[in-house]
Amino acid sequence: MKKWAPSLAMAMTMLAISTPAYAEVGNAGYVGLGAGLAMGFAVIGGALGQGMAARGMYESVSRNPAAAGKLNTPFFVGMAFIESLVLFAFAVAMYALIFGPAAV
Amino acid sequence: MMFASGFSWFNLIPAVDHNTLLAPLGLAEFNQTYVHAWFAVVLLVVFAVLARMGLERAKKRDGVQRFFSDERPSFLLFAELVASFLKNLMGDSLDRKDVRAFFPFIATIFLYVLTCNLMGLVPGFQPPTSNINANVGMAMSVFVVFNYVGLSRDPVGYIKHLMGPVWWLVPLMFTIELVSVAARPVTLSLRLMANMFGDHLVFGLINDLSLMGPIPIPVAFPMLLLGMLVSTIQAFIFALLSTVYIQLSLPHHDHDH
Repeated sequence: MKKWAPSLAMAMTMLAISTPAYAEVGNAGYVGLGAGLAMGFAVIGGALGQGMAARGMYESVSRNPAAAGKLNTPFFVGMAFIESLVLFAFAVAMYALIFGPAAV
Repeated sequence: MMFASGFSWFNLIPAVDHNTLLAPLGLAEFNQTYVHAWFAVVLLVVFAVLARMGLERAKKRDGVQRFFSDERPSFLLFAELVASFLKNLMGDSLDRKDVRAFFPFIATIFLYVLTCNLMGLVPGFQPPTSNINANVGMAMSVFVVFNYVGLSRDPVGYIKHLMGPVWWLVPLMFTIELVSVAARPVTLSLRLMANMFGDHLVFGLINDLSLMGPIPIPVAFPMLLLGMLVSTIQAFIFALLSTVYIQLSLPHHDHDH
């Protein structure tokens, strides 16, 4: 693990030094980066939450198959609530992408 | 594909999305979302008229008004299904007098949101609920309704309900409750807009993806199924949340926080 540490430090230093050379381009690229990161993190949390909701549903139905009909509606309602939180982040990302860096 | 641009069948009408025809009159163009929303209203009025005609025909045929009396699919049967489904949904939260009072409002919201959402799946139309303005209109009317109901039936109880259980937590609890009440129309409209906009956008992107080869293969068919599911679920959630907000603002008898 220690063999590639100097080259990693060199690469990071080169990246950090070369950043001011692009200073005159502006913020146009960071909007895409921000939108991508926002959607990525939102989907991580959303997928974990929906997976937990689905796990609760499957365990309950496997313990008590007669309750499947009554649990159907609250299951979909819970999934839609969790998904709507992911879609709030999607709306922020789309707003940033469509209206550009000047409006964010 | 993006907000209100792109092609729809209403673009063939000269006044929609083109400013050239009405500009000499000093009028602005008709926005695409506005025309789609009016189209949804026309569809709902036609459906209501046909269901009512079916009801009169069934009353004349049977002599007495019965529920679910048609054997074959008809507009009356669909209207009765939607009405009984919404009545059961509201009966879980409200009592019978309030169900009868708020049923037209919740049923209008449910049917309008359902029609608007399903319109986005038909090629050549866009869902008017993918624009934030159509949703904010509905969410603000829900906000006005549940605040007016809470303040007109029991104003002191409504404000005291926002203050929390104990007297020394009032500044914190009042702020939190006020923010959460103010966030309700925001989340209602934003949830519906983000769902419809995301679905319509992804469907358009996958369709563009299928056009990149020599033979266009309709690979976006599962997105249509997902779109039908999400449209119906989001309409149901809008109506359910409106009912729950109305129930939360009415004076309820058991105050155990």
